Amino acid sequence: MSRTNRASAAAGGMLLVVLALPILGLVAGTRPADLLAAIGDAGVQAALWLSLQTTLVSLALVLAFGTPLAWMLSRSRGTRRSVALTLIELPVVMPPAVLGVALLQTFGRGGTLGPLLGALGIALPFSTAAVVLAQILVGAPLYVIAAVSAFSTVDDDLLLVARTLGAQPVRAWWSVALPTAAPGLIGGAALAWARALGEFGATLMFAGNLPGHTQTLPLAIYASLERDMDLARAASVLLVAVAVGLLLGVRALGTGGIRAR
Amino acid sequence: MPVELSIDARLQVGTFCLEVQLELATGPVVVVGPNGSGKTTLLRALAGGPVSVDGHIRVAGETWSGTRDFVPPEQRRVGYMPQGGGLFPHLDVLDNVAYGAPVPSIEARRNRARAALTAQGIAALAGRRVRGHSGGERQRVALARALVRAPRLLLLDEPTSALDVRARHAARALLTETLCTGDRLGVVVTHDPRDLAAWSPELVFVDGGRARAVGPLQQLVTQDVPPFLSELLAPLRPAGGGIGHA
Repeated sequence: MSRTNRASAAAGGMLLVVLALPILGLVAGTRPADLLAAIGDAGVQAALWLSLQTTLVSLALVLAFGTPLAWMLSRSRGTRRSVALTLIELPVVMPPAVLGVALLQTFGRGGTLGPLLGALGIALPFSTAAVVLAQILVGAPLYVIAAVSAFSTVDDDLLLVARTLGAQPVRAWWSVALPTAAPGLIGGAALAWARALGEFGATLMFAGNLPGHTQTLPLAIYASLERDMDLARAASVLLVAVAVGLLLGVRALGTGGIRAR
Repeated sequence: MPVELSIDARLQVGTFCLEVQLELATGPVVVVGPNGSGKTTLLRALAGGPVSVDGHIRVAGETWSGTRDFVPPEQRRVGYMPQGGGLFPHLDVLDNVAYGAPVPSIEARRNRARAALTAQGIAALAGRRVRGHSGGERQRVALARALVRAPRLLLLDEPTSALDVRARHAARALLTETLCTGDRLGVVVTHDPRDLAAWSPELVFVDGGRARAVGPLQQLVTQDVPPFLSELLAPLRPAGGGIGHA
């Protein structure tokens, strides 16, 4: 092993330890009995259930609208493309607190679109829809950015070959472009899902912390911090387990589902 | 019945432009020219790909691309084989060939594909993934796939490049059979004089933003031709009888 290799290994190893340490500390500091108690806790159950429901809805919306957008962007050049990509990246660099304020200012009762939404009878803040909206805002950029780069690797000639082999444009896209880009799309979807599942700041400010309506698992953890640290810790371990489970599940889907026609 | 090909058009992709004037009735046709001159653009336009066509492309009396007409690729009956074969990486060999088989059910398509692979002598590859095959095998699979719809026009982009000596020899022999059948016009891009020697084709020369038919090979090797052609054809000239710029 050369000196550079040894130095890289040491530096990389240290970073890995720093990354892993908080998770290990959390898991090591949680008693199995507390974990069981958290799983049996009605509040935690409701929050977990709400988290799964809202993230599934936001993920479905992100996939349904983000996939065509990413395909279009991967095939376009010029200013319109860079403007769109900048808009998409914006929520990633915005601090969650700013995002929360922006959502309130835009969709709140006294906000910019408040009178319009009021006239239509729509009240977004402190509703389950607000939770989903905040999740879309933080998750969609991660998916779209990954999907644009995955679609960019799809060779136009492959699509032309599919067309000359009798495929209508939609079938050519569905049976060639989509499966070719699938590993990248699935990776992006997993990231977006995980980010939505962990969304906290903007949700707290824009959707509030109402058990059963807007209290997702991260908010439930925050709420229980002051009155029951054991429960907060155990619920945190539960959230980590769910996130890791989702990631692994999506990965497995990725390697198994690529051959779909 | 020979397939007549008539092109009088200005092809455009982004800022790239190619003026094409061609009238061809006998094949095979080989397209030659420097790298980046637009040979692949010409093939893509014939396949119905993303190339804007100002003028007309007519095949066997039917206007495929024109000011008002556009026949989509799926209705053209062309076989298109891009550089490297263009096999679908997510499908195995059998399903690559089955993709285009013009029969409705997946089982019938696979049966058709199995027959096509057997005809090429590569039935053993059927269930295998596309990656990890030798260049020669990939070319055979790609050719079997391009032929599965019995195309009238066969478009091959450098089918013998990136192959080792032996595979290139086999590919060339295989194409000699395929290109020279009665009711099909084969249009091939190549840089290899030995391909020309094997097929004695009509030549299309693409250079300086223009593509034009320059005549049959036998005639060209005895004529005065532009420098690029002259160098390409040098090995094929009759000993001592060559003239040219080289």
